[in-house]
Amino acid sequence: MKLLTLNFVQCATRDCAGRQDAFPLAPQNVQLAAQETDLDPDFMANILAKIDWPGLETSLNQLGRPLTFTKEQVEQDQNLLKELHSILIETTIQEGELVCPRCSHIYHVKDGIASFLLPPHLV
Amino acid sequence: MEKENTHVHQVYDKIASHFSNTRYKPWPQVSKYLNALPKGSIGADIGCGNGKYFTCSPNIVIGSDRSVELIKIALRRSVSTYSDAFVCDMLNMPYRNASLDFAISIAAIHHISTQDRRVQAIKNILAVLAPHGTALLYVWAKEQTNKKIQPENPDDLDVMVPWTTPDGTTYSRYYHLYREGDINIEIKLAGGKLIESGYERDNHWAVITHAV
Ligand SMILES: [Zn+2]
Repeated sequence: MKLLTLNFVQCATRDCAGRQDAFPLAPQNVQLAAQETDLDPDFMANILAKIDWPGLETSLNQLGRPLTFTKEQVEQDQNLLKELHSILIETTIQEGELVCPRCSHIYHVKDGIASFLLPPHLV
Repeated sequence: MEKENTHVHQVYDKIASHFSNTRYKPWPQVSKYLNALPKGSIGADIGCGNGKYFTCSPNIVIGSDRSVELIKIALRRSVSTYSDAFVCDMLNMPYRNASLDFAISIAAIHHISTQDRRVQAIKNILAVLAPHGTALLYVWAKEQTNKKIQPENPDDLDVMVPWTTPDGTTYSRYYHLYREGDINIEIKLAGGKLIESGYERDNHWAVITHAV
């Protein structure tokens, strides 16, 4: 799962669905991988407004890789788009857990695939 | 719900690779919708199956499917820089509320066996769309002429459709068939607004957004 995707998912249990405090899911015991892909600067510039920046900062702190620039700086500096591309698009979670900050439910990532299927008592 | 577990979820996990080999051509209307979106759009493919629409979208598609076997195939065959996929049920989706520019759900909602839950699925799709967001839905039409698909009782809208794998095993999949106008009713019940609709390849399709 790409780090970009982590910025677009939250806890899906009955009690947490739709709640802003059930985001972002905290990565735990994760193995990351990097896969090099081509940068399209215009494309990356267009997605800046769609990223949840506080969520991204939280996630990167939790991964021990704090963000070294702000949204405003990326808007001013094309070189930082490359860095953002490498974080959001090229970095994937291969193994590990994603923990809800609200209810502590744990979602598992195996072979790069996150599963959000829930046990019956949580739906 | 038991029907969906036995005749949808379990079947797709079993037929995933054969099913995937038969699903590679994008439907024209879907390509048209995906290619008309502004550059840098971020969206979901709900019930993405083998991910056949990932590559024909120039934008970010975060796919999801109930079948882990189909998601494995989607991620393996995906050659698009910007696509990703995970496993979830469309009735309990983890996409962040109001975060997406678009969504497609192609031939998925018709696998849900009650109207209440089909309406809930459409509500869930609307919930993840940003205020300006739109979604394209495709569901199987009752009007299609394929005899294999017609129920014994012609008035019946719930059918079991066989799928035979190369080793000769036959599985049956559950479908709800939509008559013309049925999807519009469910969209309205879900609090959505119809923008455009049509008929293509034995399916009714609709582009929807929030009713404001
Ligand atoms: Zn939660």
